[in-house]
Amino acid sequence: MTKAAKIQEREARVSAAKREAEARGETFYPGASRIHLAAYPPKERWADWVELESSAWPERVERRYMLVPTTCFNCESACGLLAYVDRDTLEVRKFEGNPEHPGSRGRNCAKGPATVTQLTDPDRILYPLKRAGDRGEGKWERVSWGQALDDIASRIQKAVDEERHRQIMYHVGRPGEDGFTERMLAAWGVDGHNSHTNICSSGARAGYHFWMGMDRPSPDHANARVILLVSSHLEAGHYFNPHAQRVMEGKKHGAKLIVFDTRLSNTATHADHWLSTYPGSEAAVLLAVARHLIRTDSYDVGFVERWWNWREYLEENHAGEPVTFEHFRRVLRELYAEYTFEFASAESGVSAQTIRAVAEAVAKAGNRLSTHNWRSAAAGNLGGWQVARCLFLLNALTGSIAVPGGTYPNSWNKYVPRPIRMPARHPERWNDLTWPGDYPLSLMEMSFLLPHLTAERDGRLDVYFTRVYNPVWTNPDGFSWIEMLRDPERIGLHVALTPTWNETAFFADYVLPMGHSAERHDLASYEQYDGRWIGFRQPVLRTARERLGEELDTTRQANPGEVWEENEFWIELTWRIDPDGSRGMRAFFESRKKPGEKMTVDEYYGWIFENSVPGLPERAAQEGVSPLEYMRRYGAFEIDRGVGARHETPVGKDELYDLRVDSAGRAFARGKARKSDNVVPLPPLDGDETGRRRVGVEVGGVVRRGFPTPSGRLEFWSRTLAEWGWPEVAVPSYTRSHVHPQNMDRDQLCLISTFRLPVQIHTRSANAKWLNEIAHTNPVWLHPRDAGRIGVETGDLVRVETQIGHFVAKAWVTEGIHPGVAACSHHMGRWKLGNGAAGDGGDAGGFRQAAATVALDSDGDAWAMRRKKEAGPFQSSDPDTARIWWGDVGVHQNMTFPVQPDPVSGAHCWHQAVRIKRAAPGDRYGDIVADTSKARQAFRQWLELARPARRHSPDGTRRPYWLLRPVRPERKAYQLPDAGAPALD
Amino acid sequence: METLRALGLLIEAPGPAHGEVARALGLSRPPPAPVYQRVVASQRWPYASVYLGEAGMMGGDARDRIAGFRRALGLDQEQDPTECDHLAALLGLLADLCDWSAESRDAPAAKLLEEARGVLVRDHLASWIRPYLASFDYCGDPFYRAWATMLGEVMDHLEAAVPAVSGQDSLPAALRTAASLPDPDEAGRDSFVAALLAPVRSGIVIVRDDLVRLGRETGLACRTGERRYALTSFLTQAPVVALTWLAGHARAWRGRTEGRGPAKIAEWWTERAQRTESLLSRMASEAGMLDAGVARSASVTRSAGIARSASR
Repeated sequence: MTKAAKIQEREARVSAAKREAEARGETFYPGASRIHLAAYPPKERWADWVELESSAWPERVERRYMLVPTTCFNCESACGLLAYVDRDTLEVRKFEGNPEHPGSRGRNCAKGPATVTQLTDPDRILYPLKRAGDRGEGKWERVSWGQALDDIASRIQKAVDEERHRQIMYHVGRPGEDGFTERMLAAWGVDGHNSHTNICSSGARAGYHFWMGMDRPSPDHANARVILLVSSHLEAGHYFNPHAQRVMEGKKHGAKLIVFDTRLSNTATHADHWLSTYPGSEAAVLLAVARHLIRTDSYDVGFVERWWNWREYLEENHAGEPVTFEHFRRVLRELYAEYTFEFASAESGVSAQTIRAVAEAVAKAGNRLSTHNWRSAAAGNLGGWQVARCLFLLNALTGSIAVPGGTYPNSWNKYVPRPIRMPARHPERWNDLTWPGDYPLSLMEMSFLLPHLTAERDGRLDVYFTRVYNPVWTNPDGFSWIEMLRDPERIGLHVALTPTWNETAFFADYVLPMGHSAERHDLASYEQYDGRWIGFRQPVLRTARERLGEELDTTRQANPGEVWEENEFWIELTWRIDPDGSRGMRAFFESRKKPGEKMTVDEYYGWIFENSVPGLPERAAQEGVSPLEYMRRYGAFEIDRGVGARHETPVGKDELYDLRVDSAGRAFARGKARKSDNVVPLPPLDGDETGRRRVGVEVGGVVRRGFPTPSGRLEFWSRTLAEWGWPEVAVPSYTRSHVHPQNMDRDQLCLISTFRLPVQIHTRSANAKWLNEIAHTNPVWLHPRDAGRIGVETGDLVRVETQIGHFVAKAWVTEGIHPGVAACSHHMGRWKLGNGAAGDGGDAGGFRQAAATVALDSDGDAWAMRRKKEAGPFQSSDPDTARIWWGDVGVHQNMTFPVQPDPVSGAHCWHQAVRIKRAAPGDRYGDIVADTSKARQAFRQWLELARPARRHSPDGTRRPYWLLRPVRPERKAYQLPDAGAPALD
Repeated sequence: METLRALGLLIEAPGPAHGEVARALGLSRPPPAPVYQRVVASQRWPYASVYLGEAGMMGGDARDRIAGFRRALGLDQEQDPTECDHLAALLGLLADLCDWSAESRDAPAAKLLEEARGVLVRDHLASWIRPYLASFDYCGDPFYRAWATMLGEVMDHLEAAVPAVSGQDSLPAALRTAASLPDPDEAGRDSFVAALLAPVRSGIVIVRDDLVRLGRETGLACRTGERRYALTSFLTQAPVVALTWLAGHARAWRGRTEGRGPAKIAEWWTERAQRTESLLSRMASEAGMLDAGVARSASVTRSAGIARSASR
């Protein structure tokens, strides 16, 4: 046989072997990115995977695992994890990345693998506990789930029957899921959703929302020419890992990285241009870049003409002038004329030369400019929401919206499947504890004002759930939270749903243990590239045991102790509130397959996967499994990629029946709406007076989908802002922050507290020992110039004085911070009272790895916290806890911050004007002092900046109807009461 | 071209899939992971950049050149393997190009794909694969030796089959622009030793086992450490002995690349190994004269330099 014939014969043989393997549903070659570090166990062997036991080295001891996918819950990215479940002991031994997950693609940050330390934490809560002494006294008794559920259900039942719906509130920190909870509250008819978002991302989200009707960016970093981040996003921010890996891909392909960050963050170290902007000046710099694009005609004129609402802007703001695009270009030029590089330099402290270089880089990017702002400047400053609005102005100018390498709207890259029995009902009553009329444009609930709103108006909450939320520690003004939580007149019953102890749970009436990420069900989908996927969080031990043939009715049968699965908790609670279905709640949690019985999580998710996820049933059928089995096997499913520019999509002829296009180009018609099972939140846009539905906007002679804004276009000028009392900021503009030098005394510094430690989670990492070992303290960053003036060196104690109190921390002198600015991460400073508030951890317990024991004293409004004992080693079921070598766990600075709500977005403006001094005699590390009467005073000062609905609403409503809002009430609930909104002033 | 993908897979860390793939190729059962570790992962790194890069290490311009080739093909950047110059990635890409070309119904596109295939074979595989495969001749493991032989045969077949592309007579860019060994006296010991270990500069491959053999055959002590450290240590202990052994090694290498693969490329590697052999022989001789105390003239400056720097 010739050599060529031999080669051909071999080729035929290998091809045949490959065909046979694939016919068996197996992969002949492991995945495409299989080289070395990217190697993963091939999926067909996940059911029985053999690895050598590392702890047995040098012996070669084999261990057999079942690899079960789930979704990480340690930030909001929802990265895929693979749990390695030991087949012999049925223990989770470790977590690694899930290569089948389209967002994270098998790669995780430290927080993902650290999940195993949360599962095995000896201090975790395993049984339902009921308060046995006063709130915060630390006395608890173990109760049965039945007792707790009946008690809570009867209170809710009574409140609903007495029409006190407003007194039921669910307050969530990390949602980590799409749809379940909002569906539940809608089923209850309760406008009781409260989130943490106004202390987090809502400032930035408002900026995006006013532009495009959607409130988050989905940047395509991997294909960008220029990546512009206003944050330490790459290394420490939200969507940390899925975005970070794509930023690095973009860099690998030659993209320039521009980072605005006052600190030399890890992200800044990767930047081609690092701009250490003075806090709050970011919008000024961005407008200088915009001015450069405009004056050098380096913007996409065609895109601006097609998609901006420039006509509406001219008509409303330049009456009598020509309504032509050429005139708009002249006006635009004039509008931003003052934002010279020199002006931006004076505001930011960054050289004009550097800003020019950045502007030129952006100009060269064409429409491949990916940008992102999450918290950072938007969460720190008065007017912070304008930072995102000015950042997105650059995308809007360059046409880099919904194009490869640009920035997409989040809702187009996200998929929330329609659930079974979607409640059509909306709450009838408006909850002005979360949506007070003082802040009609706030993007999210005014959650951090809750202690003040309950104190200063009739604000009793009869049943208050905190779920994965720790406002005492996370929010500003923590002592006011303690006052509220201790007050039985304001909080009737506080139920803390949490897997671990936290500072808020100490003051609860019930502490109910919920599962960690590997012990619960959730669905999640996030904008991480131009594609849509869903990720399925599942209790891995339950799945493993069912695969081995066990039949389990509930997840808690597989969870440790008496830890419940949260979906099952809400189903059970709803049934107890509405046992006979007469309140109209039970029906939404009743089995469709077995009428009269409770819906199971299998039925809930099984129905969704079978009916609401395009392509999933077909994909599952190819493998001969049900859609639910498919999701339990792989943990994620990519619905599509390359979603593209939806706004350009022509509306189908069938929808355009009886079309009417108004003078602004908005298209209304009576055709049937296209059915979509994606219920991702989008603004509801009103139809016309004759009942036609809004279908799109006419652009270039074609009716296109457009953007979900009142105009259907990108809203350079926001009629909403203009008509609701804010005409001066209706176009992207620069507001001088409350920490602008002109607003501070000469001896004050700006303190920034919004930055993350890359490996820490907010409230739940206090029991993740690996993460605590890496990062556990939060010194105050000081520039050498400031440190010299104050007279301190690294390690010296400093007293940081805020408007309502002070804290004592250690200085860290570094050139990695802008002069005149101090920085202290909000992640640390965990504390416990050491009075017995513990689960299994005994009287010193709670969360011992990362919490100092403190004494809490109050005298009227004067509060003080003093450290009694640092963290340290202790004996437990985990031998590692005896090896804890760190003691300094940082200082809880947030307690000394007053609330500072932005009058437009409602976001808390985190940055503080502070005085920093050498610690006074008698000051001790960790001292925290605050006066809640001063906190109330600060609340009122900021409230004066607000423009309440009752004075500024153009149509007698509480809030513009089109703005996004969780658990949207009925339309009539939007109407302001005749007597006017119950504003506080 | 499943054969290419299959051969690519077998140079990755052994996994459960390897047995079936090897069987389909007609190879014996792959050895366990420790053998892979010893033979491949710690000695014969399957990356083009190791053999074509001036530093003899992974990454750098040599990898960028391949990444650029992928970009020029318009491949989805997001799907790019991190290690695009890994042999498995290159063989996988070649197999893809073969498939796409066969499936394409658009004649100009098919022609472009064929041309791309030619560039990939000549510039990014043939340019370094023969010295790499030759290093398996004496690797001590029959499976990997057979694998290398098989891949060599497939490469012969591919090289003969790829269509002509413009400029095919010239050498691949990586070879055309590769610097040769530096003057040891000017460059200094460290740079010279580093260059000697970079195949594209010296024309030879020195794996860790070679250094162990050097020690065994010459009676010199092989210091534990990275190759550069071990080699420097030999040159410090006994420059003449070490240089003489290395010259012999280069001579043997000349034979390993001679006549293998495309003529121009084989000639380039052979010629470079020959120059290295000559240089090392001359240095050995000059160092010997220095040792004998007869070196006084300028002609021995070079060897005196390396000997001095080696003993520093």
